[in-house]
Amino acid sequence: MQRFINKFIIISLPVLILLITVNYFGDSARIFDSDYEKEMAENLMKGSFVTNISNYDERIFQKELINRMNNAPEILVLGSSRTMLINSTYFTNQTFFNNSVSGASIEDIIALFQIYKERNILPNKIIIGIDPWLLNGNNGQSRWKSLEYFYDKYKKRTGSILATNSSYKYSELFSLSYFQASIKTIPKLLSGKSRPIVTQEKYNETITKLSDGSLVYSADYRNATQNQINSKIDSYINGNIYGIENFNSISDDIWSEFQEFIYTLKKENISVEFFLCPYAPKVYEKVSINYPYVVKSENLIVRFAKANGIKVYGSFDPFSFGFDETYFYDGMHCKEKGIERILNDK
Amino acid sequence: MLFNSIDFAIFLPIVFILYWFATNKNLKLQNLLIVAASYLFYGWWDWRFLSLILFSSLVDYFIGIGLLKQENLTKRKILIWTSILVNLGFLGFFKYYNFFLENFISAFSFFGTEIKANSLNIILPVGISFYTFQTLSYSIDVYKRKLEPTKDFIDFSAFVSFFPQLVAGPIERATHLLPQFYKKRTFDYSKAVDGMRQILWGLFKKIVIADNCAEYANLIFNNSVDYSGSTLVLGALFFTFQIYGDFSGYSDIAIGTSRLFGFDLMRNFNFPYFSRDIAEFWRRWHISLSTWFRDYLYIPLGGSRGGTWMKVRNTFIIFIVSGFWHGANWTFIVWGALNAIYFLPLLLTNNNRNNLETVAQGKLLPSLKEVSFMLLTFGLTVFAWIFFRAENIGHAVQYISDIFKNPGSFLVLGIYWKYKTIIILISIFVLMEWFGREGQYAISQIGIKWKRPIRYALYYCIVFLIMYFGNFNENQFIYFQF
Repeated sequence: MQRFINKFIIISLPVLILLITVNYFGDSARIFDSDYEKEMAENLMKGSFVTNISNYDERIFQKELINRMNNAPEILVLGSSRTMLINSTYFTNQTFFNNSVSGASIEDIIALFQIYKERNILPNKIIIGIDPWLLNGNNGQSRWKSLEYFYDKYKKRTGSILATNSSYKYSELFSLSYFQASIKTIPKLLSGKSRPIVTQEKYNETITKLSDGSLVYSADYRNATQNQINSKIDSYINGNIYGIENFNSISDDIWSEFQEFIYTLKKENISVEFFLCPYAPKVYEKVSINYPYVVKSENLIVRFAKANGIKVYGSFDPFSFGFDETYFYDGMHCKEKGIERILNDK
Repeated sequence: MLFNSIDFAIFLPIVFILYWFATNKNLKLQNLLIVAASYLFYGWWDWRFLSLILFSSLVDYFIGIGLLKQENLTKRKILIWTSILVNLGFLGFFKYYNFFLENFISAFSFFGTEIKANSLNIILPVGISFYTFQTLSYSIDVYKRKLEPTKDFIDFSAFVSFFPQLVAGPIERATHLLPQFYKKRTFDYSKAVDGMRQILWGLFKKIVIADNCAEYANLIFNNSVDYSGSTLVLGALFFTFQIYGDFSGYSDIAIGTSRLFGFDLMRNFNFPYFSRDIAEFWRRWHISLSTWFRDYLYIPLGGSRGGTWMKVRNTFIIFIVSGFWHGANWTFIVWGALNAIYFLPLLLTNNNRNNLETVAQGKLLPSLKEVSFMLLTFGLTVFAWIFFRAENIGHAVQYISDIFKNPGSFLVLGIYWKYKTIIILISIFVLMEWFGREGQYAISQIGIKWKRPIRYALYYCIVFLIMYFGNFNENQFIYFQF
């Protein structure tokens, strides 16, 4: 018996060591490398751009950015990857910042606003990116938990702690899913290409964060042929549509929270506008038939905006702007030319 | 609790330590620990259904005692029918109530009579088809005087609820498993090491092969109208490996876990996809269920004795019942009937016991004839699995007809490239299974005579493949739903 247990431990030990080592040093989501987001934020605040960035916690990065701001931006964008390409060139003569985070949910938007509030640098105007999954109670979003502390503060709840201090990350040392992601970063780590690169160039091989918080896609994404884009759209349709599977009803809780948040912004004398990024036409055709609550959400938001004098840019429906597939990078991300047309739409 | 979960990874060592260190001096305590651990294991999923297992155990325990004391044949028959009705009653209610109700309503409305009846929102208790068959085998064997009934309820409860095989088999015979609870178990080093090796192989089958195949099989089956014929064939192949990896992986983990506790469970799979005809396939696939039906249904019905009509009738009964056992859906019944159709020509021409030995035994490669028979059998099996996996009969028919709608798509190699990783993994898996086909499970023989460092390198490779390619979403086992 003792022999069996000893042997089991001896055999398991290398596996355990490999697991912990890869998870700690590969660290695909940068949960053990807390300096990564700080380094990025510092460079951006100096007016530079950063590229060669990957797998960082976007929420923590936004927090680091806001913590380094000296003045409030006049215009602020809060949304998801679908609003990340909105940049300062569309708003001349006004200070602008884009704090969008991938897969944003209502909690992200509220928590980021709370950080601005705590720093007392509230903007004059907030453009809120309305995503199809925003009012879906089953949207499966949990990444906002990195900012749970600020969300809870807004909700006047106590008890949560800053995610950077939380001990949950140590459980990731033993996570096999985390191992699968982290092992892919090992070659970069070994070749010394794992740190962000500071640049003044807007267009680079990998994605680039600009000093206004907006994003420029990587070269292969920007330069994809239309055939490649169409293929991305097709595979997007064939898989699960992001965030709206199980969208069986508009969540009363989220809708109340959303309305209450907008009223809070109004009380703070912040002007609010909504931005609805369209789906690619083929995707919208499927969504409008198979996911009726997406269209219902848009109708609800538009009615609410009208009742409260809020300007709405865009629509989930690309046909309303005459957009074809050439206006898209993939199934759900509109190109800059589309964004510009939407923002200029009177 | 799932075998492929963190919960089980914590549960198993704790029970193992308690079993061998705290209770090893007392057989009663060891069996009690097994009952407690098994109830915890099952209750982790839904504690409410523990009452069903307890009730089923009590009924069959007392019926066993009753049969021991009773000599009157009529009274013995009443007792055995009570066991059958209670067990099948549970199964019928939880598994088939809504199916029969809906089909009765459809049948009556077909003849112009509208019936109003509400279907019930019934949760199917995990493993009910397995443990009811196991307890039934006990009562029937006691009734037939093949087995002395136990007078110890703890032993009997441990036999019914033994956690490694409680929810998805192998469906053990009381004559094989129950006596193992009577004897003192001593720790057997080589048995435990072999058990660990079988668990490792089972995890590879489940987490790497089955769960990765499932991603693609689900995508293709759920959106079959959008795919070309070649992708639909791939979808059917992915499901073929998914169901094998999933179920035989579960069986390997169950058997391996049992060995850690000093128990031997019956073999459930014997490399079925290397079969040369359907009869051989059914001797190698879900052996514990096939033999259960053979012993408790086919043989009592007359088996293959009697005339041609009798053989045809019994073959269809056993295959259709076997299909229906899997679930309340016409797809399973058609799957069973298809297998009966495959099997009948062999039975009627007395060719159903041609291939009793392992294919190409003692050889590295099979002959061309063997390859062609294996491919034919495999093809027939894949075709039948389409019905098993489809949502309904209409979906299966549509799926099959769509395979032929664009034959040109089979030549577009780019389609296969998209699935290259899983195809490579399946290829590795098939090769391992081929080279290990003469053992109890693939890696029971491979490398056993190699030098230790090389053998361990093989095991570490498997561990690495699990870590790197495994799907860690803690997907349920397919057979939990049956």
